[in-house]
Amino acid sequence: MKEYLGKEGFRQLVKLVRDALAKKADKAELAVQSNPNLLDNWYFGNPVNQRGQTEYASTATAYSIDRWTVTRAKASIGDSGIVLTSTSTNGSFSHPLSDGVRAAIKGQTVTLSVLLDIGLFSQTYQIPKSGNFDAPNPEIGVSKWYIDMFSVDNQDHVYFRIINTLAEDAPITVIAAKLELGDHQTLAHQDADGNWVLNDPPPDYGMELLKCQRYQFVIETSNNAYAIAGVGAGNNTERAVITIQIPVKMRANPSVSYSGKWALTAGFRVNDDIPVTRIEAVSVGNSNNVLDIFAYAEKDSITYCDFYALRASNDPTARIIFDANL
Amino acid sequence: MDYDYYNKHYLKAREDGAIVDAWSDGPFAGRSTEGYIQFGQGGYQLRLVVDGVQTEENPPIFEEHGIPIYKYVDGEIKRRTAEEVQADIDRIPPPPPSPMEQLRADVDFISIMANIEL
Repeated sequence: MKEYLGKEGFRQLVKLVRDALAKKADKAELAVQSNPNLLDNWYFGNPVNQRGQTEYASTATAYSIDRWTVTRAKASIGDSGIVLTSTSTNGSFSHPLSDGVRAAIKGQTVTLSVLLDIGLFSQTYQIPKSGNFDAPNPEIGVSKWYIDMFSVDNQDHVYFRIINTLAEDAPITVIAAKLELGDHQTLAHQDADGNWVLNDPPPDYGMELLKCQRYQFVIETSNNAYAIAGVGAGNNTERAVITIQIPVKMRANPSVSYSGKWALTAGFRVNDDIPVTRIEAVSVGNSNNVLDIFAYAEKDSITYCDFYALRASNDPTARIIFDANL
Repeated sequence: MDYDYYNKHYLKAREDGAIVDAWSDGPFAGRSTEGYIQFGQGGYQLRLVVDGVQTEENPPIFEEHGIPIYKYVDGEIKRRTAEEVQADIDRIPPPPPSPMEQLRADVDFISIMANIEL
């Protein structure tokens, strides 16, 4: 056939076939191989949400559900997806790409897609081999919402983003998002009734949680007012080093923040609780299985080398956040 | 479109310049900056530039005794000298005796006073 059509003719024939396949993929007339999704926590019907809020709103960029940030926007966890509302001009919901994904897409053709409750929207983009970029951003059907990708610092940081360019309170419900290598989307297709359905089943929640816990690990007491976070020993008279078991090695040394009441206890009786005044990372790097933190108490309240447990102090809402987000 | 990418980085230094705290307002949005100096801006996590070299994210700022590793001098972050660190280590008071050590000392004292061989 190549000899009959000539090289250019054969190239055009291949393009015609690929275009036809792409259209048929949307309508599931053919079995389409789904490409790997390069985003984490991409299914918003049951998202990983270690911070535990039902709604996240911020003017400055702040993390919401795992791996996604809100900027000048509000993200509410709905029954079928994330409801996004822009609270100011350029409100956005963004996903910083991991180092491995950034390297994999450099110079490649990628397709961005989002499945909303009103339909599927996608765009294909050629990532430059170097230099910053801001992908052309097609409107996703509703009130100046767009999807795009952009980079800063010569592609040291790359983001997948859903953004609203106007300060319009026009909420959209996002069911799923996908970034994939290739020139067409494989996120979803239309069934015989014209309904959009995901090509892949929803991801295994446990696996998504593990992936997200490389970036953020939250100790919560799960309504156990005296839950133990870890054990250790007095490091001096006002501080104990506490070892925390972690499920997976974190991406980088995490920052540590905490809320609620925590205490050090040597005797496990409530009256033995020594109130914790501050929790900090022991910045000696993180291992595959454990992290160390400093738990501080009032001066001279800790006995050097005695064993202690760090536990919630009658506070079922107490939590510690290890943050190694990008 | 603006990106809201850059976060502000803060540090607190002692009178001798030793850095005793440092953080990024990425993970610590809304934290009070009273007593802190904004020494730079950058990514979500804290990095320091020490003697012109960028550190890992959230680098250690204390060694194993809890002594500061870096100092802030004339707007630059530098590594403290070994002598400066050792001087701080030498100033750490010895820990008080543990209850068991105190009890042993008391028993020994009483046995000596009572001329009892243990």
